[in-house]
Amino acid sequence: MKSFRNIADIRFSPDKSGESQILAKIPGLRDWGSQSDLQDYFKLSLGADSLKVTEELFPREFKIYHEVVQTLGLNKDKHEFYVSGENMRNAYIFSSKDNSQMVMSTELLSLLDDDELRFVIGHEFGHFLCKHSRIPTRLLAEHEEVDDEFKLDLLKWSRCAEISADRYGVLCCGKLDSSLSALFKVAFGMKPKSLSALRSSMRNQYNALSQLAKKRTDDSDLLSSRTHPIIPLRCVAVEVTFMDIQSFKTANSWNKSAISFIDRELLEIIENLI
Amino acid sequence: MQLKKKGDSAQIGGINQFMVTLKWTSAMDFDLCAVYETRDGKEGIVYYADQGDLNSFPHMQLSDDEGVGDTGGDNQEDLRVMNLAPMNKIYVFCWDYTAVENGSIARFNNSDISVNIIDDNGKQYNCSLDNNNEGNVVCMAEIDNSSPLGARFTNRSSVGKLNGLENLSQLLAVAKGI
Repeated sequence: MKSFRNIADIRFSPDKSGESQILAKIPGLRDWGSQSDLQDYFKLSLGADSLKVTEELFPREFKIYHEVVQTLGLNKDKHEFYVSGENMRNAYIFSSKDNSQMVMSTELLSLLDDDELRFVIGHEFGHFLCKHSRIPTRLLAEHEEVDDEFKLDLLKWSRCAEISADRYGVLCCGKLDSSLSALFKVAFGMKPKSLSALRSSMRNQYNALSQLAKKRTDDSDLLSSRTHPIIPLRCVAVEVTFMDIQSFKTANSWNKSAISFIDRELLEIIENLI
Repeated sequence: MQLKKKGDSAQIGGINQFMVTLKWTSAMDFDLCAVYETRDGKEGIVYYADQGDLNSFPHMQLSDDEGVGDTGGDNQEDLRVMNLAPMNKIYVFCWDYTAVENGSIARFNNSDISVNIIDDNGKQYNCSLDNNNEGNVVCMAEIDNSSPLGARFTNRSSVGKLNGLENLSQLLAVAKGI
């Protein structure tokens, strides 16, 4: 399987520019995620509460995880996958400079078929590839000494970072319907009855929200504390960039000018509402 | 799948969304344009001056203009179609708009224009120009969604010469080889 030369290109452009602005304000964050004591602590807690995915214990998950590692051109010796027994649908990745530990709850794993699992694993590796863990959003957003305006910038960036991560999920999954049903299952914990109904329903909700976003009101701030964009926006963002990502997968080139108007529109919604 | 010859076609099945990409490397200011016919008889055009809309009808949108000022390199323009269901046919054109306006000849024969389609199943189809006639507009491809069996993608390679663009019938005549 081939790996990609310019894999960073598919990143949502406002994620990249937002990150630069945040790092410029707090330069010390550049090395935050790579501190070895933090990594040791994380590994210790993983060892205590989670199970490492091995071929013998979780053959399906092991196989798919390693397929994704290969798709993204990562070094398999530097990445680990754990399963946790927590009673919620959850997946996250702790990453440092060149290695990572991914954790997924059994509740989420049991919901996902193979392609959906590829999407979720690809999404988490998207956070690793974009080095999103350099910025501890939740920690800073809850810190008393961080000013409110900067907190809003952080959260806005965090929502942009999720859009980027979804693109890596799509890249690894390779199927639009599976990418959308993965997002649906993570959010709602059930299988969508009809994928075409899901698509049209998400698009209708997105259209209604984008109209609201265009006439921004004080109520808009109600959603500004979210770290993740709302699901209709994520679904539409996946839908409109799916073919670009498939094209990237084949031709290994990303047409920035073609995607720029999509990125502008998504950013407008993220800035004004969600 | 490669559709190299005029008239070559492929059944692309029950797709709903796809992206059309016009590519060329020669130093020419070509543009991608699409003319559509809906199932209820409406006709319309998506081109550089009316780039369409993904969120409302016609649910298709053109990317920004490339190759402006006859720039060589990897020129590319994309058209996203988000809802094929209401469409009967979509014709994909490449033109040199300046040449269309003044009735001159575009340099299609010295170029390497091709049209690529990627659908929402990730399948790709490519067609290249198979016509040496002189003109300033070429209907490169047709997406025919009129059959209940699903859409069909055809290499049209139909070249025409316009002296100003006044209505859609001129482009439809080129597409249909009238």
